[in-house]
Amino acid sequence: MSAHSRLRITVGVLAAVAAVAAPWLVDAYGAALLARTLVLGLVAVSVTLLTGVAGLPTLGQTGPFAAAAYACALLGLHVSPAGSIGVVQLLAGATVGALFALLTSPLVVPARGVVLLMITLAIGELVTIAAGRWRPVTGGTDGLTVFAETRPVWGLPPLADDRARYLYALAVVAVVVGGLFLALRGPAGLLLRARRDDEQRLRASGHGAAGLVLAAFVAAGAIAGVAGSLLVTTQQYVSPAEFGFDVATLLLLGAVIGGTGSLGGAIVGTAVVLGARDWLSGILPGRAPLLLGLVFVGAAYAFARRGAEPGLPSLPLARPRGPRFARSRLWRRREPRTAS
Amino acid sequence: MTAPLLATEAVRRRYGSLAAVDGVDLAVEAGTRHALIGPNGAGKTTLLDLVAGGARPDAGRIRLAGRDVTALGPARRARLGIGRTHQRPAVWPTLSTLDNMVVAGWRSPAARTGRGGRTNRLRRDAADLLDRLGLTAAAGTPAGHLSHGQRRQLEIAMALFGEPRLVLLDEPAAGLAAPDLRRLWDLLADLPRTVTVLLVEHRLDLVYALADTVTVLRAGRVVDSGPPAEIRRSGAARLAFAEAVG
Repeated sequence: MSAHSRLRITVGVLAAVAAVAAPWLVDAYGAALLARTLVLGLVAVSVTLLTGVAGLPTLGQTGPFAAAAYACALLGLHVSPAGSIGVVQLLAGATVGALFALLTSPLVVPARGVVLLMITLAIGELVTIAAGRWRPVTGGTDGLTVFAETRPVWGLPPLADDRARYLYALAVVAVVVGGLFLALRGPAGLLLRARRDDEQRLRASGHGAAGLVLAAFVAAGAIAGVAGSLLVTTQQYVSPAEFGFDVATLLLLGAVIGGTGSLGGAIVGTAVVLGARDWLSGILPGRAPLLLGLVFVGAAYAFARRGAEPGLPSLPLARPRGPRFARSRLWRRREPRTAS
Repeated sequence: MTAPLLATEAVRRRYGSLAAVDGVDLAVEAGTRHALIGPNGAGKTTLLDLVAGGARPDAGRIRLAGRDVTALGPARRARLGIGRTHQRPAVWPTLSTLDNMVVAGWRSPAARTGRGGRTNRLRRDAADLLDRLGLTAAAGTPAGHLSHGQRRQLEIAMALFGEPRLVLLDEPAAGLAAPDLRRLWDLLADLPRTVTVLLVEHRLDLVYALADTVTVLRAGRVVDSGPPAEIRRSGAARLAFAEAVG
């Protein structure tokens, strides 16, 4: 085993231990914030699947996220007011998220690049507007409050406090991200990365790109749907403010900062962005969005510079490797000068 | 009489006011090596694009083994047995050399049969082909890190790996050093006759040595077509190149 692999395993184990121990290190509010970070981190994972792995930039993952969250909230309010079963909620969320992706696929599947970014942005915004206006169903801007507690599966006690809800969210996120990681190690990952690199070449090798793109959107929709279900479980409240443009940009920023091809990096990146925003809002009241905007401009600059190498890490959380990066100006500045 | 494996019938393609391909009739018999030669801008690469489905003709028809494929996209044509390489080698830069081969061969008929998992089977078969091209040491290297010559060889291997009925090679020798050229030559010369080759190449020595039939294009039109010896004798190729330069 190489030193690099050993380091990665050590960091992974330490991160897992820290993630499990975290709710005991903070108060109930902190545990709720951590759970929310995990939920948004999972949506960022779906953004990474599309943007980083498949090369399909998106600002619209708040769409399936919102649709699934409202569906699960309505399920909790009208179908099982005494308390939902987590597994059922998760399946419902994944199904609604996937269906949302399927319904919007005629708009997004043919589009690429900036056009795709704009279309997905529009879809996300329309969903937020619909959530705010469709008051009889969504509760409008007041949102929906789900008082009943969720049981993970039949026979287990309900998730009664923020710590339990965080651990439940952590377990679900670990299973989903682990499953996606394994799936991307196989042919699906190869084909998506090949599409990102050169779609024309993929077609010339007999692969229908449209089917592949559709599958990526549906899978990402299902993941965002699972996150929507978790939002209801952990927060017990849903409102349009959870799915606005600012959230969509935070998710994309988190995915970019985490290294756009890394699933774990997407969660870490989202945690960094949310942490920075909430921490900055404490010490610089009213100026956090401005500073966050500057961070976003910087990330977008690095993202654009990296255009020739889509999907590969470009920011400090995941340092690039290989001779082509050594030649890039972005990294050359950091290399020690050598006498020649 | 059986239909040729590939037939283009009065195929035209314009880019603005330029007629890149202007009514080309071409018949490539199964199992043969057919070369397209001509000066730059003669329409050779455009014709390959039209055959592969990367571009659609403005007029005319394209048939593969008698079947009209004019309306089919490139993926469908590839699945019908058309493999191709590009003038600028097109590989997937972030995938390893071996993974490039796996993705390229994934839809081939051979990939769907045999023992073991498809990925492992493809990796095993791909390793043999990479060995023949001297790319074994680069099997785990991201294709974006390969030299130009290695990328070209990899793309040729990818095109052949799908076991195509017809392979379109766009200047396969361009940018290759002598040892790599030798390997390429051996590979093309050893191709089974189940694979038909349509070759665009500026190296006329390679063309005359390899091709059964040579078609000379100029300004999007067929100037001459026949066996290499005949084309060489007629001087059509020389004339086409000279007129283009003059």
